[in-house]
Amino acid sequence: MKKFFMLSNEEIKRSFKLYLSILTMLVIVELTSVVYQVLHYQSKLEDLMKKERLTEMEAVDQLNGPLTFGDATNYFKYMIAIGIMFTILYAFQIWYRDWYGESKYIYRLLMLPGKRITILLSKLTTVLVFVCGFMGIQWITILLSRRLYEWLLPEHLQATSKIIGESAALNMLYTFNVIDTFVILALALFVITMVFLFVLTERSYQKGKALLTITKDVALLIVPFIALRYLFDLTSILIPNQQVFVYLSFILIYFIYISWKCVRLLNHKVSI
Amino acid sequence: MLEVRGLRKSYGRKKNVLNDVSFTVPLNQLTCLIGLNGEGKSTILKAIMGLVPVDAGTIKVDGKTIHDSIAFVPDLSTMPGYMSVGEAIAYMRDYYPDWNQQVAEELMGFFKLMATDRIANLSKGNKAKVNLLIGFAMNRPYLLLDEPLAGIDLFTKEQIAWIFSSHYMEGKGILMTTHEIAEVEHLIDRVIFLQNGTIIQEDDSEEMRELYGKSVQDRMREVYQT
Amino acid sequence: MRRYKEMIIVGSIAGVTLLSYFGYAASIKGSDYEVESIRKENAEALKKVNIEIENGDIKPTQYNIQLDGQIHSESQNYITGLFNSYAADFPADFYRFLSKEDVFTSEMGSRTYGIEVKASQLNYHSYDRSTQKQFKKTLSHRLTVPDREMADIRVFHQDGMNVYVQRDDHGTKEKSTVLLLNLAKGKVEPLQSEQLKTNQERHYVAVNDYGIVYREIAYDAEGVEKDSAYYLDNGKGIKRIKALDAYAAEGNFNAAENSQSLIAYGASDSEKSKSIKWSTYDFKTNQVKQHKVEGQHAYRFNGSYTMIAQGKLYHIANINDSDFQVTVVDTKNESISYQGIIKDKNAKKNRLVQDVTVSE
Repeated sequence: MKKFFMLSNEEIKRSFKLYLSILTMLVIVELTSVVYQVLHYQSKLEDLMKKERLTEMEAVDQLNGPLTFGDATNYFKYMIAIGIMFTILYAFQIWYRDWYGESKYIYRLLMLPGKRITILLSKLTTVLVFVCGFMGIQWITILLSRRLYEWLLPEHLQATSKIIGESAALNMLYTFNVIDTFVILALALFVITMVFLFVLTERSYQKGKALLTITKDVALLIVPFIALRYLFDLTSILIPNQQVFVYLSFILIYFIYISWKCVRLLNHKVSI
Repeated sequence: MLEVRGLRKSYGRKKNVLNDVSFTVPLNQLTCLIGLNGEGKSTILKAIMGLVPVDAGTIKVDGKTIHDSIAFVPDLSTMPGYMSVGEAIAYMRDYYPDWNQQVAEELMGFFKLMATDRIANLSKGNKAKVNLLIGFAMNRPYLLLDEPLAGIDLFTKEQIAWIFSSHYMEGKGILMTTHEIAEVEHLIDRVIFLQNGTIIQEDDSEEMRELYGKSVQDRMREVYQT
Repeated sequence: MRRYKEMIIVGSIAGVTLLSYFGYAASIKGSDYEVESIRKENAEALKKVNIEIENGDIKPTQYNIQLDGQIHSESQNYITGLFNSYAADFPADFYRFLSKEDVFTSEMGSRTYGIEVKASQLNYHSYDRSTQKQFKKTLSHRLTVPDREMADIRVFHQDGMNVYVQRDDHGTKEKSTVLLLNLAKGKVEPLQSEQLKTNQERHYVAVNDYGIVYREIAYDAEGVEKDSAYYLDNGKGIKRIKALDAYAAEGNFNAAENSQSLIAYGASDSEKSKSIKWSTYDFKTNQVKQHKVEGQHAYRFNGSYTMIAQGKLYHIANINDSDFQVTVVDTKNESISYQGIIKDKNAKKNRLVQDVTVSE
């Protein structure tokens, strides 16, 4: 356990400044975007009122109504996409930096006493903690943005809406149901483990064989899924709820398989 | 006794890197693994440490697990560059219960390393010293050294060579790979010649000198030129 | 602690911020419903009425409210969403039947129908969600086997063991056929078949002693509806039901329980009203009659839910932002057999009536 915490802290330490910088940047960009959207809307309103000699209400009508919070946070989905992309890239980089960094830290890691699974778990934990941080900070940014939106925009120009507005991306991430948050984190865990498997496979085999093995592992996910789908459509052997249960079980089994494979590669196949 | 038996490794069907390599490394002796570039010397050391998977072979150390008994000093820096020397030592102390802090501090003084020196900013020679310091302070009975004298200045070589004849070597079995035979000729107890992934000769160095009437370096020239 | 400084900082950022989110989520109060009966004639019947309400905003929750006061709530999440498909409640064999490639599926009220036309037999299978009962029958016929891509088959009327089906064959010639599936005798009987013009559409509505009733829509070249009307084909000729001309565009009339008249729930005159209206068309008198009952509270027309089943009209509508008035009207007697208020103690807004089921 101590080794796990020490390794996790080491991993976090190595990306600490980068992570905080990215978080800060995302918050600043998002809050700035809200200010921009509000001011831009008000400016369009004023322009319309001047040029076409309309009353404020008429101008609001022409602009398809008051500015919704969803409109004000329209750029958030791009920031979320960037966050996701960063996380996936980081999942690759957290391994490759140990092989290709200025020092070969992977030597030190693989020679540490204790089980090598601790290395895997510490890296996984690091990425997941970063994901949790992203989600948490994004939530705080939504709250701050809401305050900003309500403060900058006169009340009659606001469209009342739920706290997270109408953005599809935000509504998918923040359903206010704790189970959904764990579902999202489980999905993140799955994706990160897949990335880890790709890296460890590439580090364990020659290029050609590595590519073949990765292709085989991806096919092991996709082909049975399609086959099951085809089987269910063709035979209707199971009712919808049973089908969902089978799909979920398959994903769970596959996740266990890729996790086991990561550990196996790390213990027996990975080469420096 | 560190015993390596039947080590085999290949990359694909074509390239056999190690062919049934077997040898021993006794305690209180310095064993030198000699071969030209690409013969598989580093691969053997990495295979012993589990850094490279092998196709076949066994490694035994007096009945104990490998990590408890062997320290490996590779030929490149293995601590993150952002760490200072002090932090690297603290890192190792945290992970290794047998860590000998006194040896670490003594060697830090001997090598004139400052605890605040950042590893990324050290010269190649000083990085080699840090590696060696870590290797000895780990306090393991067996020490594997991969090219400890490669690419460093004469003064640093002399410092490192002094370590091999000091009290730090007491009770240790050393396996070393090096091209700098002349620097350590007088310290070598056992010699293993490796060619094309196969052991072609394994002898006590003194017996070899008597048998062939040559230094180990000259014998090496003879072996690899024929 | 210092040793784990970075982990503690990052962990705290994640922990504190996510906890704030969870705390906010926990603080969101859902609806707390209670049923307040104003008028009730038949207490037993109330148990069979189930109203499903969903909130349309954050923290989706489904409320199942029975008029006898039993209330169940279930929060919706991604996992429950996966298991909530429309066909989730179907029995396995019914689902398998409906999933077959050649089966035509249709719905009417709480019943779902599946019809498969093979060379000389027609397989019929129905399932009623309110009674959870299935019915299967194989019937003999002399029809052409429809092309699954170029045909539609739907049930439009059921009168006991007689099921009336509309079959449309598309292609170079449009044809619309009414079939009677006599479940008791196990036979299929074509009642009417007609070629339609390409810009014509027909919806059969009812079959009774007076004939076959249908609504026909004509479109212009751009596909815009230009005319619609109800017709009665009594076997001797086709007559336009002029009394229903004013209602043809909306097309709300369906067979009443006794099949001898048509019934449609009516629109309110204004956005808020106490009157619950419906109309009936009597084939005997050839007249449309307006009916209404007065509820206790004025309700909002927008978002109201009306269903006609087993001779009763079930009307649920908002009386304010959070509360619903439920009215069960006996359309035969033109009287209210039940009226009550589903009151939300937490006065939450944005609630929608998703479904009303009446079990037998």
